[in-house]
Parts: sequence; C-alpha cells; structure tokens
Amino acid sequence: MTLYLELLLIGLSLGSLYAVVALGYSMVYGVVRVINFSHGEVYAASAYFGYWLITDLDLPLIGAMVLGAVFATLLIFCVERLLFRRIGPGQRLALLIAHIGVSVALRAVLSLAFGEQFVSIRSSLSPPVRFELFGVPLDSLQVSLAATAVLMCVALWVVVHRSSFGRALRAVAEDREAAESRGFSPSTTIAGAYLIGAACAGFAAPLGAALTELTPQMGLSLGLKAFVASVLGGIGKPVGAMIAGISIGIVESLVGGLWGSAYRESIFFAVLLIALLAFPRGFTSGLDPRAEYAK
Amino acid sequence: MVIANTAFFAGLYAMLALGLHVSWREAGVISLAHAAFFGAGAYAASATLMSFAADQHTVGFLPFVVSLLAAMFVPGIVAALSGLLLLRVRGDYFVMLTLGMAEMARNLLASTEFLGGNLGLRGIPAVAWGDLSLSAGGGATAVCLVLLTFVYLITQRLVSSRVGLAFRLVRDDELLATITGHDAFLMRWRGFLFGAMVAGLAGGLVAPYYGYIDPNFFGINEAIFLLACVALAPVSHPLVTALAAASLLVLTFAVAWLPLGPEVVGAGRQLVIGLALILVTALKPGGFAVGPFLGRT
Amino acid sequence: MTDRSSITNKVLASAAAILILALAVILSIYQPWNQRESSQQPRVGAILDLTGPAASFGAMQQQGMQLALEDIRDSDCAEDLELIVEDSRLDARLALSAVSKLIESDSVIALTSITGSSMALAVAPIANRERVPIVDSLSSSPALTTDGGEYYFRIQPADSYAGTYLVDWAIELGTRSSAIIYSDSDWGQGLRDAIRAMASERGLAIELEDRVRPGDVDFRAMIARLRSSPADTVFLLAHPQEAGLFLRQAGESRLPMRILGSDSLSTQEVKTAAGDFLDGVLFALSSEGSGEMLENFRARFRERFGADANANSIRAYDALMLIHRVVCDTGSNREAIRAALDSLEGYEGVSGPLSFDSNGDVADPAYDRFVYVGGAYRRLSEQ
Repeated sequence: MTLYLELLLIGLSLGSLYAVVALGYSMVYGVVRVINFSHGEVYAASAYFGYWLITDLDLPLIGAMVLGAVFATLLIFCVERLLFRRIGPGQRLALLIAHIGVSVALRAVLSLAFGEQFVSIRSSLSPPVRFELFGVPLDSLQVSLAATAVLMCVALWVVVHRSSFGRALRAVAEDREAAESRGFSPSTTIAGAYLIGAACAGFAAPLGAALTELTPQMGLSLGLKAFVASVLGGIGKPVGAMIAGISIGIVESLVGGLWGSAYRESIFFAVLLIALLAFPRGFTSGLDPRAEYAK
Repeated sequence: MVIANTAFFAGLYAMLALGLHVSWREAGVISLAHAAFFGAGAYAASATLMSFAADQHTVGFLPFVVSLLAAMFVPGIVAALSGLLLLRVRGDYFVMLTLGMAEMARNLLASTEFLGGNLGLRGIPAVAWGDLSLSAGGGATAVCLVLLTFVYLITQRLVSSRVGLAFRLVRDDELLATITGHDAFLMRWRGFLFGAMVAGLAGGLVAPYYGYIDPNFFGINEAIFLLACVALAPVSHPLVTALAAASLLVLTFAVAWLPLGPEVVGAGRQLVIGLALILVTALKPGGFAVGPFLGRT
Repeated sequence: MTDRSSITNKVLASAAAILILALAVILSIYQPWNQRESSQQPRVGAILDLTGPAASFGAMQQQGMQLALEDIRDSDCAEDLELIVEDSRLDARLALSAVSKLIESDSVIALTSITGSSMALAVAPIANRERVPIVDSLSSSPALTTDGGEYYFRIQPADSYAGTYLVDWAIELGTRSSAIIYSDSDWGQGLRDAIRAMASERGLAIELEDRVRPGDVDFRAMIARLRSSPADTVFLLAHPQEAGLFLRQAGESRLPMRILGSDSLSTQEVKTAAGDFLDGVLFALSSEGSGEMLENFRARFRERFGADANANSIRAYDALMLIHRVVCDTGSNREAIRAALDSLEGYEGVSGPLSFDSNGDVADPAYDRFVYVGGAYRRLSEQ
C-alpha cells in the first residue's frame, strides 16, 4: 500500500512540473495554433538563468524565480517581435519551422554556455524542509512546486475567463478575422499570449530545476510532455492542462515504479499517440485544432 | 580523406533530402519520421549483411544489393502501414504524430534486446568488390554519388510527371483535386511512401560505411536536421533541395574544422542548424508553399 | 510554381551553394591550423573521451600516457613513438571516424587506450579487419573477451571477474537478496550479466533490476520500487552522473539498503552529484598492483599532476610502455607486434607482471575494497 501511495505522491510532484510547463504552453497554442516548440527551451533557458543567479550571485530561490519570469518574458518578447511576428497569419508551416529553429538554437546556446553534463541548483540551495506524509518522504520544494502549479492555474483561469484580455484571447482563438473585425488586435493578443506563457515558464523554471537538475536536453522532453498535456487537457484550457499534466506525471510514476523504467518511457509515447489520434479535443472540450480548415 | 568523407555525407543527405522533398514539398506531407525511416533502412541493411557474412569480415556485391533492397523494403512497409493510420490526421498533429512514432520506435528498439538494443549492432561486415570498398573513403563516396544521381533522376521524372502534378494539386487545393477525380489520401500516402523508401536506401549506404549503428544515430536531432535540409531550399525544385542539403551538411562539418576546440563542435553544429532555420523563416516567410494540409498558402 | 523570378532564385541558390561548398573544400584541404609535419616515428593512436560524459576517465588515461611518452623519450631504445589522441566524446560515430582516420591517414602501427567498452566494441571489428593491434587500458566489458578479436588486448580485467568479486563480497556482508540498477551501456550491461551469472551460481536472489539511461535525472519512482522490494542490497552499476544523483535521491528518501558498486563510484562526478549522501557506499576496484615501481610512479604522478594516480592512469601508462617495448624488440610491423603481444611473458609493468590469455585478457586479477567515509573513500583491508 505504501508503495502506491509513495508513487502517487512522486507522480504528483512530477506532474506539477509537467503542469506548469503545460500551462504556459497551452496559452500560446490556443491562440496561435502552432506547436509551441520553443516553449520547452524557454523554460530550460530560464532554469539555467536561475542557476546562474543562484550559484554566481547567491540569490534566494524566490528571487531567481521572479527574475526568471522577467528573463523569459524579455526573451520571448525579442523572439516574437523579431521573428514570429514577421511571419504572416497564413504561414503556419513557416511559423512551425521558426519555432523549431528557435528551439534548436536556444538549446545549442545553452549547451555551449553550460556544457553537456548536468548542473545542479539544488546543491547550491540550503537543504529543503523534509517531512513525511503517510510515511512517504517529501520535502518543501515539491510542495512549493505543486502550490505554484495550482496558483498559476487559478491565475491563468482568471485571466482567460474574467479579464478583457482573456476575452480577446478567446475571440482570436476562435476566429481571427472575426475578432479583428470586432476590434480586437490579433497581433497584440498573440504577443500577449506568448508573454504570459513565457512568464509562467520562467517563474516556475528555477523551482522545477531545483527538483530535477538541469541538462541542455531538458527542454525537449518537457516540451513534448507539455504538448501532450495540452492536447489531453484541451487547448487553451488552464484547468484541463493542469489536470492532464498531473495525470501524466502520476501515470509515469506508477508505471515506472511498478514495472520499471523501460515501460515508463514507452507508456508516455503510447499516451502521445493515443492522445493525438483519438482525443483531438482533449478530455474537456477545448478548441479543435483541426477545425480551422473549414474556414 | 576528409574530402571523401564529407562528400559521402553530402551526397547521402542530398539523397535523404530528395526523399523528404517529394514527401513534403511535392505531396505536402511533412514528416519528422524521415530520420526513423533512415534508421530502419540502416538496420534492415545491417541485419541482411550480417546474415550473409557468417564469420567473415567482408561481403561482396550481391549481398550489398540485397541489403539495399531490404533497406528500401522495410521502411516502405512501415510507412505504408503507419501512413494508413497517421495520414488521416492533419496539420500540426501529423507532425507530432510522426515525431511521436519515430521516438517510440527508437525507444522500443533501445529498450529491448532486439537488434542489439541500446548498444546497437556491431561488427557489420564491410562491403567490397574488386578494388572498391564501401567502408569509409573513396569507394563509398563514389557509390553514394552514383546512387544519388539515380535517385535524383527518378525524383526529377516523378516531379515533372502527371503524378507530380497530382501531388501538387492535392497539396494545394484538395477540394479541386477530389472533384477532378484524384484520391487525395492515396496521393499523400504515395508521397510519404516514396520518401520513406529513399530514406531507407540512404540507410543501406550508411550501415557498411560505419560498420556499427545504434538507435541514437536516428533521433530527433537527425529528424530536425533533415527538415532543415529541405526547408532551406528557397525554391521547390529537386536540384535546389539537393544542393541546399549538401551545403548545409558541409557547413555543419566545417564547424569541426574551425579551431574552436572539440567540446564546441556538437553544439556548434546544432547552432548552425537552428540559425539556418531561423534565417530561412525570417527572410522568406512566404516561402513554404504548402497547401491546406498544414496551413494555408 | 516556375516563373521568371523563381528561375533567377534557382540560379542564385545554386551559385550560393556552390560557393559554400568550394569554400569548405578549400578549408578542408588547406586546413592551415592543422599542419602535421611528416614524421619518421612510428605512430600509435588513442581514442579517448576528453570532453564527453566519461571525460574524467579519458583525462586519467591521458595523464598516464603523458608520463609514458616522457619515459619513452628517455629510454635507451632508438625508436620513439608518436602518440595521436582523438576525442570520441563517447559517441560511436566519432570513435569510428577516428579509428578510420588513425588507421588510414595516420597509418598507426597500433592503438592504445580507448575510453570505454562501448567505444572499444565499436572500434575493435575495424581494427581486426585492418589488422591493427590494440592494447587497451580501461574497457572492462566481458563482451570484449569474445568480440574483441585476435588483435585486441587489454590490461584491464574483464568485468566477469568483477561480477564474481562483487557477488562474493555481498554474500560476505550478509546479503540475502539484492537488486541491480545498471546503466544501459556495454559496461553496465556487462557487469549486470556478470553479476547475474555469479548470483545464480552462488544462490543469491536478485529481486529486481532496473535500467538507467544517460541523462536520466529522476530516480524516485525507481527508489520507491526498491524500497518496497525485499532486497537489502543494491548493486549500483550506473555511470557516474546518474549514480551520483541516484545516491543523493536515495539518501534523501532514506532508502535503507546497502549499496555496492564498481569503477563509476570512484569518480569526481559521483562525489559532486551525491553531495552529503555518500557515506557507507561500498565499491570494488581492480587492484592497482604494488611494489617499488608503482610507488615511484605514484610519486612522479603526484608531483607532475598534483593528484593521485589511479588504476586508469597506471594502466594507460603500462599499455603505451608495453607497445613501446614490443616495438623496440620486434620492430614496427603490425603483425609482429600482435604476435609478440600474444606470446608476452615476463614483462613487468608498473601495475605488475603482464601477460595475456588467448582472448587478450589478463587472467585472475585481484580487487580492492573501498568505502566512503566523510565524503572521501578509503581502502578497506580484507577480512
């Protein structure tokens, strides 16, 4: 029994990580409808930035998180302004390729700057508070990450459903031209979505990296998981993305703990394939990314 | 030595790019599984060569030809079957599906003991006949270029034939294509299949060249590199694509020649690829004339 | 889509592509930064990991070889050796192109230290085909006994011996049932197979095994699984980084199991990654040898590099010195070298007397035990 409980809690911890990345991911995907390939790398870059802040400048974790958000926002602002914005609304393939290019280039820069081997934020922090929950060892970092995921989800939900910007987001996501004719500015809305998504990633990155260590490759695998979580959770739906992210974490943890690591990876890809083939709308009814072909 | 080596890979990637060109730029099927088909061909060829070789180190011309056929056949079958499922999905989802499928295959291969697992296949016999040896060096380059020419001629003929016309029609305006009697799904399937088989053929060349392959050779980085090779062609023409691929390959190899130190090479190459993709989309965002299958023209 | 402007585009594209190619071809021929004076000395090649995941091992091997080169220069034999080191970064493709270059462009008469069993296994078939002898120092995978070929010799004991030793040690410590965590590489799998074989022979139960991939950073689910199993000992056969992370996470999760390992646990990476959670971890290394020659070597090494020599440097030194001795005695013909290595007897290396069995392995090696105390390891004397 304790094994299941322990795996469940580990899965929650892992899942909150996927959730925070998926939340930011989902924002852009909902509005732009292009696979946000670069989101994972923005997360990774913010994590490395946080690493530098913590180890070289001795900042506390929370400071690194706030500055991480600033960093990510600035980064995506430049990239969006200089590159993504230049690509017109109909050029989704070009946008996809641009995203891929940014992702590859960012990863390369991280590798050049910090090396291929992993670096650790955790060893530079003071040890977290450790405690036991139902006999399962946990620490304060894991709890913080879970709390961050929930808070972020709530915040995003409020933005999407209760603010005027959120109204713009939903309008542009549903029908770009119609939204434009109603007075919403698609390019500003899109830029805003990118910024918010990046801020989420940047804020959570140093915390997440304190739990999982940093390698230049981390962006890729997290990005993939975030994508699956977004699909399953429904595009543009913060609550769905969070639940999906946590579910993926729990499933991975259970499979890995019960059957071994080999199956843990295979299960993820099976989930990916099933999600894309069978659940384009996700578990909650979000926007169907294929629907735009009717226009 | 370095020249022959570089020329071999330039030719190899030009060949791979031609396959992806037909699949993507002609039929509109943008596939990140291309590297996986490359790998499948390499594995099929290796298994064939090893079964011919018994205890010897080297095999001759006939086993090589058989291995090339196997290298085209296995990815062909995989593409044919998976295409039936995947090609029903469109847009970004299709791209992610191909990526997911490729990664899953690579993961399964690495997790099992089948075909060497994560340790790969060792001791692939060299191929040699007469004075020509295919394991590194001039012989391999020559054979590669010959095969490249062959693939190019076939591609060129395909592109300018009625089939090519049909590919492009299906890509650009599926409604019109369907009305005029084309089976859009079938055309895309064919394009996908052609690409996979050409990729497999390239894999058949690489196996005796290295003498060793493992699943990590054919992962996401490889898939993105192939994407970049084709994306860089400013005009949708096979010759331009082949040249673009060759140039990109040479450029990435050139990173290793600069006196920057070995740690930098891997990341440096990736940086070149990323920047190339960024430049190409920044400078010519209207340049990827691919129809509704992925996005509007 | 063909119209006038796109034809111009096509021409421009082709011209650009050709220019790039031409430039790169010129660079590759000229390579002003890479001139090698043609030397008359026989050349020996080494394929080390200098900048990759096993760089710490590669560095140790390189240091050992540097000392060897100095001794070679000072020796009374007329033949000097030129050493060419290539960086594999633990990537098989780079190792393969390195071995091709060494054999064809550099015409090496022999190869010496290769970093890692995976690289050695990838490269050995080619060396055998081209008939170039290898005297290796680090690679310990049992697969090299059979797959190394006629031209492969190594001073490092095969891990089949290590497996036996570890299992016997575990039993001595009172282990009832065990688990294996291994890295998915030739080294890891080789050790795992050796331990499994010996465990079944000795009747030691292996409850579960799980594998670790390079780059894995989260082992908590695995640790939970271990905790819930009846095993009381873990054989930790993971690569340095992953092993260190595992140790830390196991310590934080308070996993109450004994941990036994091998070479990877002696590295700096493990110490860095495991942090405070090293104490009590046990591992075995193949014996470095003893005697005056070894002590002199150690002193020299410490003076020269400011660190202690370990088995990897010692064996790399011995490997190169051995090749030099053989070249001095029988000339620089590859076949002659191979034959001399095959029938080697009575050669005293720094690590002790060297000779090879019919598979190119050293026979019946000894092992030393180590334990971590206070963040550093020290030798345990055997009971």
